[in-house]
Formats: sequence, C-alpha cells, structure tokens
Amino acid sequence: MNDQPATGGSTRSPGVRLDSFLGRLSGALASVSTALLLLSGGLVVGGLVIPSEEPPPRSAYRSLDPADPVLLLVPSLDIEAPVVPIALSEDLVLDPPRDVVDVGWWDASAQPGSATGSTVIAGHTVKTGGGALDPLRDVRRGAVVDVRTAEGTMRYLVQRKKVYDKDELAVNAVDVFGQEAGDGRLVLVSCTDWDGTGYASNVVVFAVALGEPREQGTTSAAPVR
Amino acid sequence: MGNTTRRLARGGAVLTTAAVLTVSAGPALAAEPVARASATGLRLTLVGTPTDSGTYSVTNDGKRETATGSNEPAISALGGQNFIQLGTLAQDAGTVIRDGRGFSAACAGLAGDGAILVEVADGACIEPGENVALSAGTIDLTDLQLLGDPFPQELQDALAPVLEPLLAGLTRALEAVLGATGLEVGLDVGAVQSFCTAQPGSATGDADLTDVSLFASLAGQRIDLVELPTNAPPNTKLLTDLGVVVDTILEGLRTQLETALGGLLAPVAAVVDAADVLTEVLNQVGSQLAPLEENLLELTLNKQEFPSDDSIEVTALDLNLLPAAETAGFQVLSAQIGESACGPNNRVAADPDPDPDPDPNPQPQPVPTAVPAGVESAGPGDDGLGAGGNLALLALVALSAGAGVASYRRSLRA
Repeated sequence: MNDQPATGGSTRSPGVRLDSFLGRLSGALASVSTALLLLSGGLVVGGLVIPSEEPPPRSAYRSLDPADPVLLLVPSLDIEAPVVPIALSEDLVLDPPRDVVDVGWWDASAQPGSATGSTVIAGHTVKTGGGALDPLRDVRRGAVVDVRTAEGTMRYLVQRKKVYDKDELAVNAVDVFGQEAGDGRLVLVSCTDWDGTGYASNVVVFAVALGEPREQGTTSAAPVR
Repeated sequence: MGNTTRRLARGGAVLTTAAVLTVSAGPALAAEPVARASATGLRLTLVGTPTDSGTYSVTNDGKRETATGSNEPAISALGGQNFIQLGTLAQDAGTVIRDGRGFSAACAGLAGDGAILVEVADGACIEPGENVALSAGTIDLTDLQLLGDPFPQELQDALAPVLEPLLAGLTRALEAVLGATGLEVGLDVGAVQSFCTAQPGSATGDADLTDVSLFASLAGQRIDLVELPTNAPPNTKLLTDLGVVVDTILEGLRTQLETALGGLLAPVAAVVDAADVLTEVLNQVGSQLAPLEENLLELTLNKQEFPSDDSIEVTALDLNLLPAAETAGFQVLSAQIGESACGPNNRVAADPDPDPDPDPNPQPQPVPTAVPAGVESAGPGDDGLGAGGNLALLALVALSAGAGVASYRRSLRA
C-alpha cells in the first residue's frame, strides 16, 4: 500500500481529495482549539496572578451562624418582643404565644442566619392594645428589623408588606411560609382588619436578610443588594 | 496503516475541536424560555433625550428563574430631569412553573413617597402613599406681542401721548399675570400602575390609576383640568381641552388692564374708549394663545398592545406632548408610566433524561394555612410579663424563698 499522497490535481482520486480536505480542516480546527485553550489558560492564570486594581469593598455585614431567635426588635415601630418557639398544629394552624407580649418563631422554619428557607415569626395584634405586633401594619419599606440569637444579631430590611384575608393566606401558604424557597428571609405575621367581631386578615411583612452588622448599635441599614 | 492512523488522529482533532466549540457556545444554545415577563417603572423622553428607570426582566427555562436588571428602581437613577423629583417607582416580575406550564406576571408603576411595594403576584405592586406631582411641561409665554402691526393705526395714533407708559404698564401686567415661570401643566398622582399575566396560549393585563388628575398652574394658581378615571378601559384616549386655561389667562389680564388703562387713558378719554382698547388687547392675546385650546396633551390610559396572541404589553399611562406644542414653545416630552410585558410562555419540554429513581410519593413539608394572631383584648394571664418577665419573676420568687429560709434558720439559731 502506498502511503504517500498523490501529486498532480488532475490525477487525484476522490479519496485523496477528501483526505486533503480533512487535513486542511483538521489543521484549521486544531488552530482554533489551540487558540481557545491558550485564551482560557491565559484568563485563568491572569485571574490568579494579576490582582484587581481595587479590593472589593468590605461589607457592612457578616454571616451569622444559624440559631434559634430569642428577641425581635423593630426600632421604627418601637417593637421589642421576646421570641419563643411555637409549633404547627395538626390542622396546620400556627398559633402565636398565648402571652400577647411574646412573639412565636415557627420551630420548623429557618433559624436566623440560615442561607435558605424563611424565618417565620408570628405575634398577636390586640384590639385594645398591648399586643407585641400591634403596629406591624404601619411598617414602612426599608425599615430595619433585628432578630437576636445566641450567636448574635441578624439584621433584616423590610421589602414589602401584604395583607391576605383568611382564604388568600391559605391559598398562598406555600409561597408565604414554604421552606423550599427563600434565601433566609424573615416573614413576620400578625392580624389586621378588625371587623367589629374579629380580625378578618393577616398582615405579612417580608424582609430580606442583610447579615450581622459589623458595627453593633448601628440603626441605619445599607441598601439591599 | 499510516494513512489510517492519520485519519483517526484528524478525526480525533475534529471531535476535540467540536467539543471545545460546543462548550464555548453553550450559553448561546440555551433553551427557549418557558415563561418570561418584564417591567419598567418609568420611561421618559425629554427633548429627544431618552432616560428610564431600567427594565427588570425574568425568564424561566423550566428549571430555574433568571432575572436581569433591578426591581428596586430609584428616581435618582433617571438623572437630571424635571418630570419627577420625589416618589416611589415600582417594577417587578416573576415566573412560576405549574403542571409543566409556564406562568409569568409583571407589575410596574409610580406613586408618591411613602408608598408600599407589595408582591407582584397580587395584581398590584404598589399601594399609594402621599401624592406626587409630575411636571408635564412649562409653557413659555414671555414672547407674546401685544401691540404689533395688527393693532389699528388709528388707535395707536390716539394713544401716542401715552403709548410708551401704556406699553410699559401692559408689559408689567402681563408678567404679573403669567408669572415669571410661565404656565405649568402637570399630573397629580396617587398611584399609577400596570399589571399583566401570561400562560401558554394567552396573556392579559390591566392598569389602575388611583387619585390622578391633570392640572395647570398659573402664577401660583392651580387650575384642575380633569380627573383621570381609576379603571379606564384598554386604550382609553384622553384629549385635553386647555380652553379653560386660556380663559383664566384672559380673565387675569382683564383685571390687570382695566386698572392700568383706567388711569393711563384718562387724558384721552374723549377720543378713545378704554373698553375698546381692552377688548382689542384681549383679542390679541387670545389669538396668540389659540394653540393652547388645541389638544396639546395626549394621554392614553391602560394602553395595551399584543405583539402576539399569547403576549401583552401594558402601559398604565402614556403621555405625549403633540407636535403642535413645539410651535407654542413647549418643551417636548414623552412619558410612559408603568410598562409591564408578559409572555409568550410555553410548556416545559419533556425531560429527555428523567430521574431514574424518583421518589414515588414526595411529601411536601406542611406549612401554616392559618395564623390566628389577633384578639380583641388580652385575657387574664395573656398579657403577662412575657417569657423574659416570667423568668425574672421565677428568679425573684426563688431568691425570696431562699432569703426566707435563711432568715428562718437564723431565727432558730437565735
């Protein structure tokens, strides 16, 4: 078998022309792949060796190890309430603590500091006053919420408030309380819309987790994200 | 044999290169979104220069949602402009996959300070706070010519002895009426927002205007022109009749001129009637204000467009100064408040490589469906000291008991 390529275009067989074409194609593609690999390597090495011009800004918050909450504070509403664990009943009712000055942390929800899920805290609104979360309906977007644990203080920033009637809350229960989604946000729940005999709706406040303030005692929060 | 080896080597090189190229081009070959939506709180074009609050867009490929842009727009991001100085912008969007179908929703709008943003899936994304004033444009009337060529020569001759003082007086009167800042037209807004949803095969949307009115401001006096409907049907055109503004200007001028002319024309009262002069002057001004009586502002409420059968674009309020405005010295402005877009959405394609060992009965975690967190009054024992207070009380009781025991033992020794 002759392995030498044939010379003279007029005498080349189809197999030889294909072989020549494949040769040119593979040469071109090899060049492209080599260039891509060199570029990739260069980017990796460059990223490792060449420092950025400015170091990233130091965040005002640091992560907090997850732990059970013990105290809820909303400075703008003058809320300061002890937190006790509460459990979900078999008929899926989350009853806040009987003592209306306390608030309850749903013990199957995320601990403050968790990177996933939602921390759910519920507390009473009392028509005649004295409930831990009486002023929750008045919370403003951007308000700071602190939750203290044995590990430190987790700070949150209120993003939105929503009022659900009883049926709406049941329909939206997974979105509001579900633990599969969420990035460690805080969900505060109380009642609103007194109709003369009882409360017709729940007010739900969603707050995004910022982290533990590096400087304790700070009352202003940095912008979210 | 060597030829075969070369061919194999070349084939390998081709495959390697193809693999590298495929990896490089991966993002470009991403799957078509199953659900999509976007929202833009405010879009402005001032004298041909566009600016906006940015667009927040979400897409869902059937497995995860990807978002671009910001859903926390700020008025300050609009840069230097006079249309809006204070207020709350909202733009949010979301997607969800249910039963293999892509659903999306978007909401966008604007309200005054203190507004509360709520979840996009609730049919609205903003609850009104305080009202905010939007300046649609300022009309420069300082170039009005009162006594030009059309003014009757006979009248000008008769007025010659007092013409110069009269002209000065009229100029001052005109400036006083029209004000140094001219005539301002604007919107008083409680909240303006649009909302849309889409699913495979269909898309719907709506707009909601809360406490929105169109006004003109002249020399510190506010003239309410029209109150916009709260629930306007799709594509409601609102053409403004600013004749009331013209009437207000002329009435103000009449008061000013009657005073000025009464004194200045006294020496020539025998040859000219002050009332004729007044009428002539007002006619002159009125003719020059004629463009105001045309439809200078075009407002479209709940503007809805359907790029396809299964997608929608809703603009809560679309405001345009018509080209005729330019001849009257208007600052050309176009504003779109609350733009929401939803769809087209699709079904999730069948997974070619399904989980070989799926959980036959996944058990979702139970979640609360009711939170009875309200009572009329705190009952006995319900308004105690709280957990901390009870602990402190317990400690106090223990301390007292200890002190009592110690005292008792001390008394026994005595």
